[in-house]
Amino acid sequence: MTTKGTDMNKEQHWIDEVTAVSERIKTPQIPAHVLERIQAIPSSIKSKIDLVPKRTIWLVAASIAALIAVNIYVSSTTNSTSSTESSFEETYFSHLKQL
Amino acid sequence: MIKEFNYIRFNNANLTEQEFITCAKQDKDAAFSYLTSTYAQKIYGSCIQLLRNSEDAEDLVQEVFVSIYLSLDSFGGKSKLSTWIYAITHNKAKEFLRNKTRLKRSGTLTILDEHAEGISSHTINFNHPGVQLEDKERAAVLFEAIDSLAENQARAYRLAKIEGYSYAEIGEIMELSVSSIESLLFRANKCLREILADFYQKNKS
Repeated sequence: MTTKGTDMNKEQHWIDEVTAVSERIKTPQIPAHVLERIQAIPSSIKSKIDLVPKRTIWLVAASIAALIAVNIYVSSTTNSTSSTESSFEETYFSHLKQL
Repeated sequence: MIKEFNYIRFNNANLTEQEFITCAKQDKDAAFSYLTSTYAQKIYGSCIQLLRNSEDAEDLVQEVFVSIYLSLDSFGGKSKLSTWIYAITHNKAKEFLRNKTRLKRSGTLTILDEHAEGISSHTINFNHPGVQLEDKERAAVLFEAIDSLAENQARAYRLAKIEGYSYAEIGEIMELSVSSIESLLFRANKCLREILADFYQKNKS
């Protein structure tokens, strides 16, 4: 009984020791080089954005605009062609009816 | 406002969430600088707790700050700044561990959300610079025991006992009331002692 009690005490003592470790854990200091890198994040992100030259951005924008313009032109031309075709068909059929 | 903000920044004063949002809209870089001076140390501490490896923590803390910088505009002030930052850190840590595990497949890493039964006997890569040399073995056992707890118990325990967050802050981070956190920690302590007792019995000889 006494041995069991001593064992229990030992066990509880060991558990207390292990859980007490959390009170002694210190927050380590952030290394200076890491802090420097963190502080440089805004400039490094901006420089990455700057890696795409403005000329390229304008070129892409101009290409997109030209593509849209061509699309609009082609679609409007197709519409007018189809309306011309349909008016031709109408005239042809009305002519047939008359015959 | 920027003048005021710089004054606050250089005097290490704390900004309220609304003040921070206003300043971030006017000068993103100054707002980021405020965050680095106020939270870098704490985030690094959290990264170490979550990864338990100083080299990985160095990489992670940078990833966290890149993410913070890119999503500064999305902070709406609904939660506390510290809570928002902790959430980013926790998510990034999970992602980091997932990627690392996928790459290495070593089985020596602990996944944050993993819920194992009891303390495993494998040795872990334990490299926590905040632990004193004489405590290393015991700390390794403690961390393994914490990992064996249910996810929310382990998270609350880490935040309260190791990272030093207040109950109110933990409540915000975990979206629970203070009384729920108290009972969660009570249960965590109880379970932790049971796990450690079990480990003691198995390793007595």
